[in-house]
Amino acid sequence: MDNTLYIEGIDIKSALGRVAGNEKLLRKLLGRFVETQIDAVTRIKTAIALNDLETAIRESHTIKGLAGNLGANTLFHNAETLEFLLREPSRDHLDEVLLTLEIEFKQIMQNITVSLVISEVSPQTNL
Amino acid sequence: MVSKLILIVDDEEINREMIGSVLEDVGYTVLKTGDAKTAINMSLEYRDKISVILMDLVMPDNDGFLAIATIKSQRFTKLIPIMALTASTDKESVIKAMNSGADDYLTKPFDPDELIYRVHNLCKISDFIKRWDVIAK
Repeated sequence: MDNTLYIEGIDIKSALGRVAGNEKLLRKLLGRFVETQIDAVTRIKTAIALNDLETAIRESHTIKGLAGNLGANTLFHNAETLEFLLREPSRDHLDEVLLTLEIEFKQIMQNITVSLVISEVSPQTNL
Repeated sequence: MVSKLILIVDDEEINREMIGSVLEDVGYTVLKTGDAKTAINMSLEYRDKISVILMDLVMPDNDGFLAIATIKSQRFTKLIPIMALTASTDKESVIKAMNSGADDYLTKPFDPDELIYRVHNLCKISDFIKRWDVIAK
């Protein structure tokens, strides 16, 4: 198993296990995660503002599933907490939970982007 | 020996790719779709070839629960084993999936070894059903 990939906040070992050890595929999928989910938190906030809880729940659920499979464990737990809270009738601390998710989400997106850019520039570099 | 065919249904490409790569690595052939309606059509089209269907539950247009129930209600596809493969971990979702007709349930993030063993088991069931079906005719 090739362990040259390192991204803060991502459990690379478990993620690689879910792509049969294919680091090139994992890099591609991490890139796709950034491309497809970059606006996810914005979509969740918009849905909540419009009282469209079904969309907000589904978007949180999607982040949870993707983050979990990609080894972003803290982001997974943040999204799980938000999804659970959105399903509750009284959504206490929603702003706080949403902010926690947003902070982790932005950090993970940044970490992935930086890692992928650096590895494109110098493929042999260990981060 | 002909490789067994697994249909992967998940609205997220990343999930389809990850699940597919693990199964292909151990010798399965996979079909993938991001749409439950297409999955229902594919289950009919490939009904004699598909060994197992892996079905996400929460999808935008036509949800996974309904897709499972539909496939399980169709004469030519009702015996195909279906495993719900989902980020839904609550008991209610498990019960709803089983009531819809799911034969197994695995949560995301999936453990690759567990996925492989569960698919192996469902393939054994699928093989038995196909052999029994031939004998019964």
